[in-house]
Amino acid sequence: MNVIATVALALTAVYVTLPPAKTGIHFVHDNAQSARRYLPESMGPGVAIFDYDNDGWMDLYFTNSGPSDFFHPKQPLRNALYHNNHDGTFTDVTAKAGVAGRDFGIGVSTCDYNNDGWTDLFVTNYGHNILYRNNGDGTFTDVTAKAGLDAPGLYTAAVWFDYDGNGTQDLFVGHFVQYDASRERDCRFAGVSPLTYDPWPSRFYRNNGDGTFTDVSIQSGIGARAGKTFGAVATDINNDGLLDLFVANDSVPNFLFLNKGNGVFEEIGMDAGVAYSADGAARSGMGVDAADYDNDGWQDLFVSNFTRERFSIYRNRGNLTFSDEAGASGIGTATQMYSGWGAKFFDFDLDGDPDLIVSSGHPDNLIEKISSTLTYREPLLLFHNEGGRFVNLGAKAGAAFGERYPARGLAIGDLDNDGFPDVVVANSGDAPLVLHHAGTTNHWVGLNLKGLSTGAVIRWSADGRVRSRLKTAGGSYLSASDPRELLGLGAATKLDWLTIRWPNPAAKTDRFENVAAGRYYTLKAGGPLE
Amino acid sequence: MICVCLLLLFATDSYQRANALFERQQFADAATQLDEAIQENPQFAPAWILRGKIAMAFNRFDVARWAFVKAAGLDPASAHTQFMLGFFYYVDNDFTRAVPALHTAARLNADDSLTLLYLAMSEEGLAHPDTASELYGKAIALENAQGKPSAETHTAYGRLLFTLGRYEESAREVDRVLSLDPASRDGHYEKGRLAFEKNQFAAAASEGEMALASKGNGTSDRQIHFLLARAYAKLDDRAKADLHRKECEASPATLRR
Repeated sequence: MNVIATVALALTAVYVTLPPAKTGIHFVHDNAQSARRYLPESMGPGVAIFDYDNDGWMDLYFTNSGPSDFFHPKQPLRNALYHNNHDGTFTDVTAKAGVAGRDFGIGVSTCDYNNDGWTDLFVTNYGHNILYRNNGDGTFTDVTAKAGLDAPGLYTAAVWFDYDGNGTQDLFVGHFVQYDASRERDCRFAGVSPLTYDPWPSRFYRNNGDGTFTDVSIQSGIGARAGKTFGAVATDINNDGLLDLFVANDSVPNFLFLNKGNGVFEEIGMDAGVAYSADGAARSGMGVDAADYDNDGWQDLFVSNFTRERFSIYRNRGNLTFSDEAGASGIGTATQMYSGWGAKFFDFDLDGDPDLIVSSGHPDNLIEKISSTLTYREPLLLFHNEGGRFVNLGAKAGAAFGERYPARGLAIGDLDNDGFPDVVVANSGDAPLVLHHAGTTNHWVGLNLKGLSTGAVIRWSADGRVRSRLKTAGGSYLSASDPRELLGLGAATKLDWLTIRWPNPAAKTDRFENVAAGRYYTLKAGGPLE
Repeated sequence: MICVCLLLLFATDSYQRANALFERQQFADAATQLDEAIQENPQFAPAWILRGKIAMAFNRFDVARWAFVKAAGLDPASAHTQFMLGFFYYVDNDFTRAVPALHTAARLNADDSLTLLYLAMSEEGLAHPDTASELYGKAIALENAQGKPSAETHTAYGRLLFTLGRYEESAREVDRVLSLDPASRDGHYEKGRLAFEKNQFAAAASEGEMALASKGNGTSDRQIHFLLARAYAKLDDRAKADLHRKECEASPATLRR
C-alpha cells in the first residue's frame, strides 16, 4: 500500500451507512425471541448478494424465521428478495418471485445448479430446506422434493462446489445439532447453549446433472462425521486442483475434509492443526473463510469463534498442516471479547492484499445481566492486512464500525457497480446494515467468470507485482457474496497480464495482456475478455 | 463505641472453628458453624470472606458474590478483603469488576505479588496484553526482590507471550519455570508447545512425555495428549499418535458455556 493511500485511509471513512429510507430495504428480521429462548432463535439470519435477473446488478435476499414446532408467529413471516433498481434503491419483489420461504429460515446460498445461466437459490431451514429454481422470468419454482433435497433437520451453511470435476455443482449442507424442541432446556436463567444437544452429520449431495441429486453423505465420508456445523468453505488447501472442504463446528472439533479425487474425502482436521485450539480445546467455530492472505500461494483459513476463545487464522504451511497465527497477526487480541459470525476476506482498499471483515454479536440476549464485561451487541470488525498483520480500523473505517449490532450473516458485493466492495450485514431481530464503499484512489478490475468457475485460479500482475486468488465457494456465515471477483491494482491503471486457470472439466488456462482498469469483464473458459 | 470496634476486630470461637473446618475441606460443617459466627458478629468481615469461600466450594457463585461484596463493604481498607473480592471476580470471569478491586488491593498492599499476578491475568482477560505484560513484569520483579520467585507467575506470563506469538520471550519464561521447578508439569508442557511451533517435534514429544509423568493441577491430561498426538504424527509414529489422539478425545472437554 502506498503512503498516499495509507494517509487517505486514515483520514477518510471507507464505509457510509445507507439507511432504509435511502435504499428502500425495509426488511426487519424476526428472531422469534421467546422467554424460553430456543436454540434456533439465536442462529439467523443470512443474506445473499446475487443477480437473479441477469441485468448485471446485484440483488439481495434475506432469510427470516417462520413457523416451527416451538414458534407460531402471530403475523406471517417471510424471507425477502430485493431487486436492485440501478439507482441505489431496491424494490421488494418477494411475492412476485415466489421466494417467501417456509419453515424457520436460517441461511441462504446461491448457484446455477442446472447450468441454465440463471442463478438459483438454496435456503436452509429448521424444518425442510428449499431449492428455488430460477425460471429466468423473475420467478422461482420450489423444486426441493423433485431434486431429492427434502430432508428435515436444523441446517445452517450450504456450499455449492464441483467435487468430482464433472462440470456440475454438488451441494454440502451443514447440519447443526440433533435438535428437538421438546428436549430444549429452559434457558430463562442460563445462557443458550449448544452443549445440550448431540452433534449430527451434515449432508452431501452429488448433482446428477438432470435436476436431481443423490445423497452421497456416507460414500463421500462427509456424513461419517458428526459435528455441530455453522460455517463451511470449499477451497483447495494442497493445490492439487481438487476442492476440499473446511467446516467450522460449534463446541466440537472443526473438520477439514481433504478431497482424495475418487469421490471420497478424508477428514484430517486434527493432524492439520485446525480442529482444536493450540491447547487441544474444541472451540465454538461459527463463520469461516479461506484466502491466501500472505500471498505465498497456499490457501489459509479463518474461523470466528465464541467470546474469550479468540478467532483463528490458520496459515497454510504447504504440507497439509496449518499454524494458528492469531497471536502474531493481531487477530487474537482484537477478537478476544467477541462472538464472531460472518467473515470474509476481501480487498476493501484495492491494494491487492486480502483484508478481513467479521460481524459479531453475543448469542445470549441476556448476557449483560450476568456479565459486566460482555454485551449482546458487538462491533463490526474491519481488519486491514499490513503484511500479514491485521489491524482493526474501528470507527476510522466509518461510523458503522463504531456502533454495535446483533450481527449474524455477512456478504460482500458491489451493489452499485462502481468497483468498490459494499457490505451487507444481516442482524438478528433487527434491520440489516447496508454499507456503501465511499471509494479509494486505488484501481481495480472486475471479473465475471461464466460457467463453472469455483476453484479457478486467477493470477495477475500490476506494476510488476504478481498476485493470485483462488475462487472459493461458501464461506462467511449463512450467507452468499457477489460471485464476481474484484482485483485490486493499487496505483496501477492496467494489468500487465491476467491468467485464469479454469477448474475441471475445462481445465485450461486463459491469458490476457494489458487489461485496462476500472471496469468489469465477462469471460468464459477459452473465450474472449468482454 | 469501643465495644463495636472490638467486635469488628475479633474473631469469635465459632468463626475459628468454621475456618478450621473449611481448611479440612469439611464445607457443610464449616457452613453450619459459620452461620453461628455471623449471628454472633455480623460485622466481622473475615466471616463474610469465609462465607464467600465456602459458597465457591459449593459452586454457588451468586452467594459468593454477595458475601465478598458484603465483606468489602464492611472493611474496605483491608487489602486482603479487596484481594478476595477481585480474586472472586477473576474466577467468575468478570474481569471488568476484578480489575478495580485488585487495583485497590495493590494500592493497600504494594508488597503482595499475588495481587499483581491476578491483576495481570484479569487485564489479559480483558484483551489488554500490553498492560498485562507490564503487570507480570512487576509481579516477577517484586517476587525476585522478596527472594520468592514463583513458577506460577512465570508460567502465566509465558502463556500470554505464547498466545501473542512472541515465542522467544515465552521460551525465556518457561526456562525460568523449569529452573525453579524442574518437574513442573506446566513448564514441560509449555516447553513442548514451543518446540512444536519451532518444528522440533522430537523435543515436543519428549517434553510432552515429561509433562504427562509430572503431577500438577494446571495443565490437563487432555492438553498434553493433544500435544503428543500432533508431535508423534509429525514424527510418523502413527501408533503413538493414535494412542494419544484417543486419550485426548476421551478426556473431558475444556469448553465451558
